[in-house]
Amino acid sequence: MEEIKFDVKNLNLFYGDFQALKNLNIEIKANRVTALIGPSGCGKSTFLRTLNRMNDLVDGVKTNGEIRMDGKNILSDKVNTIELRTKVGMVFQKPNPFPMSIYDNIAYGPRCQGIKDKKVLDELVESSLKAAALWDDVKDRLNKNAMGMSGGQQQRLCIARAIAMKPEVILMDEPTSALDPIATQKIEELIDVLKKEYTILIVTHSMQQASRVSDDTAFFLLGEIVEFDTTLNIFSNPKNKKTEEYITGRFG
Amino acid sequence: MNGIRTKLRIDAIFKTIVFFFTIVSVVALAAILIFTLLKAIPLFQEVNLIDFITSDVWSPSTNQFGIASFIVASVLTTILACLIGIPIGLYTAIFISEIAPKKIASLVLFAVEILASIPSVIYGFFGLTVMVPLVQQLFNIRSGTTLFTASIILALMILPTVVSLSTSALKAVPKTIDEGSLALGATKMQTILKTKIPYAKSGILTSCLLGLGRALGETMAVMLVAGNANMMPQLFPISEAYLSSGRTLTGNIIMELAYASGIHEAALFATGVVLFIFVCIINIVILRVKKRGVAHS
Ligand SMILES: Nc1ncnc2c1ncn2[C@@H]1O[C@H](COP(=O)(O)OP(=O)(O)OP(=O)(O)O)[C@@H](O)[C@H]1O
Ligand SMILES: [Mg+2]
Repeated sequence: MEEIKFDVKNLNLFYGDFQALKNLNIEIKANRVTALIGPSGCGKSTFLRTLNRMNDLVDGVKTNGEIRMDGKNILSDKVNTIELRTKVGMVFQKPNPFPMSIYDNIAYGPRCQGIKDKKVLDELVESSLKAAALWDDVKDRLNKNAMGMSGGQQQRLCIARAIAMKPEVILMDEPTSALDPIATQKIEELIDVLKKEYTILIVTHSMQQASRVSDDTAFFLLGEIVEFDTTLNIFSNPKNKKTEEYITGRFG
Repeated sequence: MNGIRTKLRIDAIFKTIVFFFTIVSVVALAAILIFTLLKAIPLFQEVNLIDFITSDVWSPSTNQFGIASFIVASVLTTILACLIGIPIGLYTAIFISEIAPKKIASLVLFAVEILASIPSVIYGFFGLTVMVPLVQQLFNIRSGTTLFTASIILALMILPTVVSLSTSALKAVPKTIDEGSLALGATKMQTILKTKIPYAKSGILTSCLLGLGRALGETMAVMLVAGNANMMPQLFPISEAYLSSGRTLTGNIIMELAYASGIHEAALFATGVVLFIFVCIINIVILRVKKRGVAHS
């Protein structure tokens, strides 16, 4: 019996008058990798950003419905978004390290939570970098500016930065679309390891990537979830004709 | 084929025009510099540079030319103006770019731009009629025309530079950087202080240095409210210095240029050269800061 991390019920989201998410219902299971696929503009990023309330930052966004995370509705006004975001980390499409040292990048989140103890931070930095398979690359230059790293390293740094918060969930929005194949492969291997400890959602435009890294796949189209199933079923035996057309590359 | 040739010709013409105007401005700058230097030379046949800078006796009638007290007055007013103006300017910039609702932000920015377009004589006039009596009453001193009054007016005058340039530096921080911070559970304030400001650091620093340059070079307003006393301010306690009348480098030039001649005139041009050296130093620092900013992004 698998634990449900997010139980989404009748979720609608509007940017002003434009409805970007239409009555979504989906159960995201814990400690699995869920891939969100679909053509550009279908609402994948928007959906992902409802899970850590990042859409709150956009002017004129209205949301209704429910997203229960471990039973608690995170769309409620009473939810502390700061606390939510410490539990639901995010990795962005373009690596976005802060213009400071590698060490300070990792320590950033914990420090914002008031952790000052040098020893605690040192340990967090080391364990997070190890978890992101970056420790060996950078252990000798923790005080160097993170902007000087390669794109792939920067993205793993961003993953490490998210891990340092000890989150329960990691959201990844096209995390490898700015990276070369080798860096991409490293991130995919990393995702495979991380799913033991974290619930991972990944938006991707690559069918191969979705089938390689994910356990479940949701296919989005025009703000709706057309089909949601195990990745195996979606790719070998899609029930919806649109899904089949999309994964075989006939449209999108 | 023909199209490309026309395009190349337009390109060449455009380049020539750009080149021409670049030359014009460079030549103009060089001419001013050379003219000022040449006019200053006669002084240094009488007084050596070190004495000129370190002596605080300025007495044209006895051919004694030392500008130490003017340098001190310039430095004092500039420092205090920056100490007051820069923090206020930075907070305003943060308010405009991060905190204020859009409408209020553009209103404040509009007000700041108005502030920038007021001629300096108006600032001086405001200082003379409002600030001077106020300072006089507040500190219960004989005259309100002091270096302190000048610093306040200068602080006001550098505000627009600091505010508008810092605001654009903050606005130029990519959204992905904000989002990265917020997504880690940072509060809005933490995001501004710990990520956005460091990211915009070189732009913000440049705005402060430009403000500093403006404070140092300002003439009219300062002359109207500083009192222009030709003497070394008493430096201890420092409050004594600020509450006394003083003459800045720019003030010295404008006060006496109209009637000066001969070596006296040369001494005024030499004052200008010293001012120019200060401004150059500031600009070199600005260039350094900008280069560093480019290197890290
Ligand atoms: N801030 C916004 N304001 C208004 N409309 C928006 C905003 N962000 C996204 N949209 C619209 O919402 C829809 C869904 O956008 P979203 O970014 O979620 O798509 P996506 O599936 O992630 O696309 P892509 O694969 O290109 O990243 C699009 O039609 C987009 O134009
Ligand atoms: Mg997207």
